Amino acid sequence: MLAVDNTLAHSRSAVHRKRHLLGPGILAAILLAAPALIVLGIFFFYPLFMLFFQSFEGGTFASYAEIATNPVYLNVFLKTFKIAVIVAAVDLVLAYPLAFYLARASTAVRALGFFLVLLPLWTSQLVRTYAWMVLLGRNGVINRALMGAGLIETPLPLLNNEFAVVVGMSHILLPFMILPIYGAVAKLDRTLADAAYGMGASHLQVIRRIYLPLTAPGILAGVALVFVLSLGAFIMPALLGGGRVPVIPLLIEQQTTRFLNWPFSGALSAVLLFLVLLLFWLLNKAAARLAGGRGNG
Amino acid sequence: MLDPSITPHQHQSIALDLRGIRKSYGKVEALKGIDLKVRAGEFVTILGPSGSGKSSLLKIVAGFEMPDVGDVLVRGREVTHLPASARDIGMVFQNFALFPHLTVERNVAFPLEMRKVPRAEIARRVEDTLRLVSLSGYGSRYPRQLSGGQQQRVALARAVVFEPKLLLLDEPFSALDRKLREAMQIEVKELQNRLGLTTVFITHDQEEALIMSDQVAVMDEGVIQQFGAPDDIYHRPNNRQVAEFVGDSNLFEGALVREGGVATLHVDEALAIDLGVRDCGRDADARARVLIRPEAVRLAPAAREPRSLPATVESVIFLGPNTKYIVRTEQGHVFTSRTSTMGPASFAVGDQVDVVLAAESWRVLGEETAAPRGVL
Repeated sequence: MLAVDNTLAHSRSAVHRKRHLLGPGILAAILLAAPALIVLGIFFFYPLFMLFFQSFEGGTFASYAEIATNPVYLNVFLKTFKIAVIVAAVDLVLAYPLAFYLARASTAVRALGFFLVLLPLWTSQLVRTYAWMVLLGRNGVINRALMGAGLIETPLPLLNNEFAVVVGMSHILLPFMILPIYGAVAKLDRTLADAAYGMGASHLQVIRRIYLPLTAPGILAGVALVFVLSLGAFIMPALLGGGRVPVIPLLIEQQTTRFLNWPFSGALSAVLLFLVLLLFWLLNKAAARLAGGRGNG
Repeated sequence: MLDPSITPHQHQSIALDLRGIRKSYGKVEALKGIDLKVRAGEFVTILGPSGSGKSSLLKIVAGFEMPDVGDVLVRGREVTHLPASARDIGMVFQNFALFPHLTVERNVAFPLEMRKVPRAEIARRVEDTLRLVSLSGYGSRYPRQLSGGQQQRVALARAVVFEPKLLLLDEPFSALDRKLREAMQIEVKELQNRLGLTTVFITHDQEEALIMSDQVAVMDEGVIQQFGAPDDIYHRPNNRQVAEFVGDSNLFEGALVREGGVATLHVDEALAIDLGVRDCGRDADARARVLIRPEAVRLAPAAREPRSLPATVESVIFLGPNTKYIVRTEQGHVFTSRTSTMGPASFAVGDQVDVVLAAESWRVLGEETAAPRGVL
C-alpha cells in the first residue's frame, strides 16, 4: 500500500515536472524575453544586418578584398588588437591582487573598496577621458609636477599617443576585470591554502597550484570582457590618441561620417564582429576545458 | 643540534611538546598557558566545547598561527616560529579541504610533489596509500564525484602519504552522518595503529574522544582542565567542568564533615550524602563538590530499602540499550539515573521510587582551575 502510494506520488511529481518544463515555462520565457528581443531586433539586429548587407554593395567582395590586401587596414587591425591585449594584461595585473584584497578585507573596507571600484562607472566616460587629458597633457598635472620637481626639463609626450590610450582604457575598463575575478576569489575556500601550506607548499606554489587554477574562470571572464570592450572603444582612442592612434572604431566612424563609404565601414564592422565572435568561441572552449578538468559528474 | 637538556630517550619518546603556550586575540585570552606532552605513537584527543581554545591550539601546532608566549617542539625540534610548510605535519581539515580541481591521485601526490619526490616514487606511494584507505581504483576521480566517507579517506591519505612527524585531525567526522562517522572512527584508529602515527585529534564530541583516544586533554576556558586516560576522565574527573562536559552528571555542593573516618556531605537540611569511609584530603567543614554518574544511581520501587530517598519519576527517556530517568526527591533534589533497558525494574512518569546511592560511587571533585561559569 505504502509502496503503491510512493510510486504514485513519484510519477505524479514527474508529470508535474515535465509540464513545468515544456508547457507554461516556455511560454513564460518567451513572454518575459519578448520586450528585450523586440527592442534588440529593431534597433540592433536589423541595422547590423543592413550594414552587413550593404558591405556587399554591387554584389562584390571589393570592400573585403581591400581590407585583406591593403596593409594600412591590416595595420589598424593589428594595432587595435595590440592595444586590447595590453589593456587586458594591465588590468589583469592590477585587478587580481585588488580582488584578493577585497575578498579578504573586513566588511567595511570591502564596501568602501567596491564604492571606489564602481565610482568610475557612475561618471560619464567623456568626463573621465577629459580628466585624463588634464592629467597627461603637455602642460598637464603630471608634466608640471615633474618639471616643478626638477626631474625633467621638457614635458614628456604623455598625450596623443598609444600610451595615453592604454592608460585611459585600462582605467576605465578596470571594474570589468575586478568584478568577475572578485566573484571567483570570494568563492575560494581559504582552508585550501592552509592545507597546501601544511603539505609544504610555498607562497608561490599556493598561488600557482591552488589560487590561479581555481580562479581561472573569473580571470577568463574578466579578460574576455575587457578585451572585447577595448576592441570597440571609441571615445578614449579618439580623445587621448589625438588622431594619431588609428583603431578600427575610429576607422569605421571616419568611413561613415566623413567619406560616406557605407559599404566599406560595413565590411570593417563585419570583420571586427567576426573576429570578436571567433575570440569568444575560443575563450568559451578554453573555459569548457577548464570546467571539464573538474570532472564531468 | 640537539637540545642538551633533553635526554636521548625523551628525545625519542615525546613527539609533541607544548610549553606554556599563551595566545590572546585582542582582549580575549584564548589560551592561558598550555603544557602538553604527547608521546610518540599515541592518539591524544583535545576535547572541549566551542570557544574552549582547542582550535587556537591546533592552529599553533600546525603553524597557521604563532603563540604570544611559549614553545612548540615536534620530535624535540623547536618549531614555534617555523611556517606550516616547514613543519612536516599532516592535517585533516573539518571540511576535508580537498583541492577540487585536482584528481584524487593528484591530491594525494600534492605533498610529495612539494617535497620534490621523484615521479616514479610518487606514483608508487600514492597507489600504496590509496590502497591503505581502500580507495584503489579511485585515483582518476575528482573529489566531488566521491561520497563524504570517500572524501574523508582521500583527506586522510593526503595527510599520511608523506610520513609526517605528526597527524592532526580537526573535527574530521563532524560532516559525516552517524553510521559513517562510527565506521570512520574505527578505520582512522586502525590506520593510526598500523602506521604508528602520533595523532592529535580535536573534537567537541566526548563520546568520540572516549572511544578513540589513548589520552584525553579536556580543555575549557583556555586551560587544560584534565589530562588522562579516557576512563580516568570519565570516572575520576578533576573538577566540575570536566565532569559536566564528559558524560551526564549528578553534582552536589555542600559542607564536608568527617567523623571517625566516615565522610558526609551536607548539601542542605534535607540532604546529607554518605560518602563512606574515605580520606578526602580536606579539612572538615570545607565546602566540597561531589559527583555521581547516572549509571551509579539506582532506582528501587518505593519503600523497600531502608537507606534511601523517596522520589517521584519526572521523565523517562528511552535510549535503546539504556533508559534515563529524571527523578525529584520530596525535598526537591533532582537525580538522573541510567539503567539498562534489560534491567529488572522499569518505571513510568509519576511513579514513586526510592533513590539508592552507593557511598563508594561518589567522587569528590577538586578545585576548579578557572573562574566558575554560573552555578549549577
